[in-house]
Amino acid sequence: MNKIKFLILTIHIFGLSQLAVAQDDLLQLLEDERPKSLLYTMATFKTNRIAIGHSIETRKKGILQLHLGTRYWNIPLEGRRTSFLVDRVSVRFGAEYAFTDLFTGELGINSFDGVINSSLKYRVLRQQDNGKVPLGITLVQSTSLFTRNFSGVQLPGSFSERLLFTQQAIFARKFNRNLSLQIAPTYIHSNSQQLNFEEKDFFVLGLGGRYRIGNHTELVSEYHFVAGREEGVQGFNPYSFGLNWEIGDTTMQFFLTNAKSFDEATTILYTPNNFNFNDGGLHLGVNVIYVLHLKKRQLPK
Amino acid sequence: MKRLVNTIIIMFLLLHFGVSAQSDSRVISRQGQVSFFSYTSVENIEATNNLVSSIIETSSNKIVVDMLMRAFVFKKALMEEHFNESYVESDIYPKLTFVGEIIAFEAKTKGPQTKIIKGIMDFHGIKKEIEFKTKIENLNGNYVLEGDFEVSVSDFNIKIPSLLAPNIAKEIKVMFRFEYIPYE
Repeated sequence: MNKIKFLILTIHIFGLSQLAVAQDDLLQLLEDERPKSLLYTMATFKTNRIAIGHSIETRKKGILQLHLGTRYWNIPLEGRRTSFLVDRVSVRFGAEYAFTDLFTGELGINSFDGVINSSLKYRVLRQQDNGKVPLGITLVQSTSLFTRNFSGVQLPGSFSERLLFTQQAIFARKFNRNLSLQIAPTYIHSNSQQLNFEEKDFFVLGLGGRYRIGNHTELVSEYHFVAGREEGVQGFNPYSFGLNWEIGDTTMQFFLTNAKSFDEATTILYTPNNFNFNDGGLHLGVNVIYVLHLKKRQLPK
Repeated sequence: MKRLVNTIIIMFLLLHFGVSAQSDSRVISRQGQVSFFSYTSVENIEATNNLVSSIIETSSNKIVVDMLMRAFVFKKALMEEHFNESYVESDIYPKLTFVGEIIAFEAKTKGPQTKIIKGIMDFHGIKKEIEFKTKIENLNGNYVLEGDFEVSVSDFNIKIPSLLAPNIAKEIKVMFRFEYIPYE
């Protein structure tokens, strides 16, 4: 008899709990009903440049991005300085247009070295939030054109010899909301031989990362290692460390670097000084990136 | 002994009947639309999410709503990224839920009626009781629910940097429209 009472009780409790679940877990039911949507990982980096080099990011379709880059540094001098604030300033004007969410093209010119460069950037693979695709891949093809002599680089006579081609495959992963790292194997072909280089082909490994320190700010750093060269007369590996600050449509980048140039090939191959605090070695960089939405999306009706 | 077993079986069946009766009285909306607007003299921000799901239990007048923050579409793509990354932090708080009651709702009455909905909104880690007016129309067992209300950004612990304070309204206007069909 007791056994049966126990059975009744069990069934009662079981049945009632089922009722309770049915009532309270409407929210759970909605969650189960929701179609699983594919979400690409957002903002591995805040902008499509880490500081001196490309990040894995591209802009969304219809965005025109204006890039005003500046570098400030002192040159080694005996005696008193006569310049106002700093001895040298280099400025870059660049514009980048996103043809699709995955494909952008860029054109830019630098004041210090007179290099004109254009680049095409294509996202091959995007990281997904569900973990199925753990990293993203972006390809960059960049062409640089010398237009004059600068810091040891001699302007070649023919047009074709003035060209340099940079190919990058950028692999990046956003590990968590704060930390993203990227690795960028790079191949550069220079049509002319500069700075006593005997070869025209270079293999480079680019490393970069960001750590978010606030909702609108991130610390960034990057380094490009050129394989098979003695740093010195043949240039130094470029390094940067800085802060990116997003203010609505504008992103400000403040950083320290040893690179004077802005285009990929010249920055990576022909940076004439090392990153140190000696006179002339350290450059302050301030970039302003402004985003214009030329095409706005239609909201679903 | 046999009677007891029979009683148990009957009770068991009754309980099942109760459960199925519950789901019969539910209506669901899988593609509800929620939009929000922020109007300031500097700029207007507008976003729409048309994948909002909701269930009304007509027997108890209970209503639940569930939406993903990532499903909001903005006119400006960069705004969408900043909204998710820097403001609502959708990586930590991916969704907004609402659990409430349509007060004095007469589910069986055909045609439109205006009622108050009262309940708890759970968003950005904050649970807050809100109350708003809504229009509900019964179209032969299908329901259409629509209305609007305002929420204060500061109530949900969303920080706006002082530089951008003029761009974002303190009160955000929220508009919604759901079409419910019986839940199977």
